Amino acid sequence: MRAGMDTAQQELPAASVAGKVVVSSRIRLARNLHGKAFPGWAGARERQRVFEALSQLLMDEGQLVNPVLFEIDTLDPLEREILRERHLISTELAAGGGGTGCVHDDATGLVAMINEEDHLRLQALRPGLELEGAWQALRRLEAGLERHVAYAFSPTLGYLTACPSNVGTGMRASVMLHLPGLKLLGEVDQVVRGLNRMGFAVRGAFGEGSEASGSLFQVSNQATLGISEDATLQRISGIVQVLVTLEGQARQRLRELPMPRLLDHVGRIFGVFSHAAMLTAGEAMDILSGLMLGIESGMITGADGGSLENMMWTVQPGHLQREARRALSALERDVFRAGYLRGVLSNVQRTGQQ
Amino acid sequence: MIGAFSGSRLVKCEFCHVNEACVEVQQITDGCLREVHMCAGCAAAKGFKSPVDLAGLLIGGGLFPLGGDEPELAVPESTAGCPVCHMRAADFRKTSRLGCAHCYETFAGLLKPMLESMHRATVYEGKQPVREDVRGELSGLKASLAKAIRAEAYEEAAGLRDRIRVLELADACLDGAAHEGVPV
Ligand SMILES: [Zn+2]
Ligand SMILES: [Zn+2]
Repeated sequence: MRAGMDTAQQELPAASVAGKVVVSSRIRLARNLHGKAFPGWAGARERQRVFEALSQLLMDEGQLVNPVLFEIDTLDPLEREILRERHLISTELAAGGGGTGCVHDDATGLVAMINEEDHLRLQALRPGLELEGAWQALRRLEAGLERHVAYAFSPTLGYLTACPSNVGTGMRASVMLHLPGLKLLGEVDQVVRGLNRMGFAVRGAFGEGSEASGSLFQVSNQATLGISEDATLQRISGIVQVLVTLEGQARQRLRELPMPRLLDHVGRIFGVFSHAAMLTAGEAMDILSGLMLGIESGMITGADGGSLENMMWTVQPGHLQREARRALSALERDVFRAGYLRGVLSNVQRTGQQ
Repeated sequence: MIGAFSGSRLVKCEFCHVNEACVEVQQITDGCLREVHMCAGCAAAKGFKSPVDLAGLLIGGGLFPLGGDEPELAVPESTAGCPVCHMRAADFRKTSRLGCAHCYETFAGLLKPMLESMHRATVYEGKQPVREDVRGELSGLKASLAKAIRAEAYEEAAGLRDRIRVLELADACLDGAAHEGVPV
């Protein structure tokens, strides 16, 4: 027991904390074609024509290395669910309807949804804090398409979108963060409230506030009018830096507390991980989050943060059923998930124990 | 906090229970965070001007009653639909989604307070599309050309005319490409 405590008290370099706080960066641009009714109001035939034209343009687009086209109506429910869990398509798009789909390019991390709420939702996903790289890749894709299409644009209102909440830049930039320290200290709501007052949306990436599963949070901009793309990205980056600092301080404080809060937390997580016979996706995510914290504090060995982070997705219902190679009811999934987690993480051990 | 709804889920407005929610408000009651979804009309009717005001309101505890009265819509009713896509104000209210680009002109009066409450701004600040760059430069050059001709600076005028010809060609190309590329 002593050994575990001692390692837990060790100080971590700030950079290693920063590396473990930011999970991924994502930017989305909403664009509509000039002179065409927005998808939700367009007739089925017009939607189909737009889908065919845009999907062909995207498949031929030089910015995409190895584009794959998915037409939603041809996918089975499990395939849709997996795309949705990967954030490659939205819930709205997953519902399908004629002329909806997406083009995904794994190599560049670019995805284009066609005929969701807008004709085009171009999206760039990057691991870590990479808003600038994501933005440059998106701009190139957007400009490539603009050689063939004209976007609906007004000099005073910017890019015109189906919902007025996106009009202007049509840009939604978001960064996903892992904040177990702030959550464990019960300071998440306070921090979220502060940032909300400053005009930023901070919410649980899976579940809200102190319920955020896996301690995963998402910071994104709200306004798309009256602020430029670059200014938006700068403000988000600034907020992310604030959150990384606060999380680093929280983890440091946890290690310095007179009471063994961290030890208790990781120990309990390890207990549930080792013995639970059924786990919901949220519980599995909380376990993965706790194990990540345990590894960083030297209390857990046998896995690395990256693969634990990846498993945040593989424990989701769609991904899990793909692992199981069969359809499972919610309760069957919980049983399968508990065994699956222990199976994949069979090398995970608690250090400093007899 | 009042925020643009991510749009990935379709949720009914919690006030009127009729329209699709397009705005979400994070409300803190007894230290618990909860999201309230509302349509643009209700948000405007509740008088939410900015995220800051709203945050103050929420934390101050002087909160609107949840699931309360039907809101009175403060937005003016326009009976005529959009001449391009035929969407009517009632259709827009129901879905909180516009029908086409021209709807922004058709429903300008209805949209202004919504844009103010959603973005705390009503004027675009972002980048210009490639073709808008071309058109912006064109109109500037045309003004300079007229000035040069008035001032009888013919050499300058000739140079401007050449540049205008190139840009007009570029604009026409972009236009042609738009129609060629997407036969829709
Ligand atoms: Zn409403
Ligand atoms: Zn219209």
